[in-house]
Amino acid sequence: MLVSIPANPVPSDLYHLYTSSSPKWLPWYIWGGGVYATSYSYNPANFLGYFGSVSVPFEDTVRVKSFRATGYCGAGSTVTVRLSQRTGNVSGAIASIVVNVAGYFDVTQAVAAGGFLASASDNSLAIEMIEQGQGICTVTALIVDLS
Amino acid sequence: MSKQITVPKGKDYVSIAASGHKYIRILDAEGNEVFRSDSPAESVTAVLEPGSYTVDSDGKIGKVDYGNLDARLRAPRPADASKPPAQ
Repeated sequence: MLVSIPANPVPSDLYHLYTSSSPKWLPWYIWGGGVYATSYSYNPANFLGYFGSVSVPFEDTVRVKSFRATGYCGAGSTVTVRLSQRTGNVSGAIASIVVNVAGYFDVTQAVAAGGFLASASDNSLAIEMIEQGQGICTVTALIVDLS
Repeated sequence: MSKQITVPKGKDYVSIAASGHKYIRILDAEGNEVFRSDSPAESVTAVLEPGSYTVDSDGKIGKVDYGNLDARLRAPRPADASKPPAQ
């Protein structure tokens, strides 16, 4: 089963802020239903642009096999997208995607050891997105392969 | 074009430069595809465990570098929420 979690487009009025001449601090924006963010004119040594996180819904028992992210990475930025699992009170990343080259990206990362066996009664899945740098970055889709 | 690589211990990722490609993928020692990029970026970064891999692409594979993620971006160690930090 493929679960696609689309991100929302940046509204045109917000994009106008990015292109204005005066610097504005826009560390992150999170839009309902999806996650879409950018960072602009802040010190990347002190801040991370936190795109937010989204839950990955599933039922019964599934094997999480791979994790795919698409979007755009602006020059001078790094986009990190992590799929994490929770078991009890303990959580950790099971697949990480890092994009640090400007341009559109479409990256798929397999989960180690053939996949992570997740049970809806014992585990949760979530995706965390971080952008570091001063470029405009976009995550347009997150796709988790649950077999 | 294929190229054998070894991610050394203590490294978090591998950056692979390529040109003229539509895809870049990385296979583990068993031949399983563990990473795939379908974008024309001039280089890609794959977060991998140390070990031997094969880089495969329909273009030309260039320089391969290994590195460490910013400490803030590394996969965190499993955190136990039932044990709050000591005061």
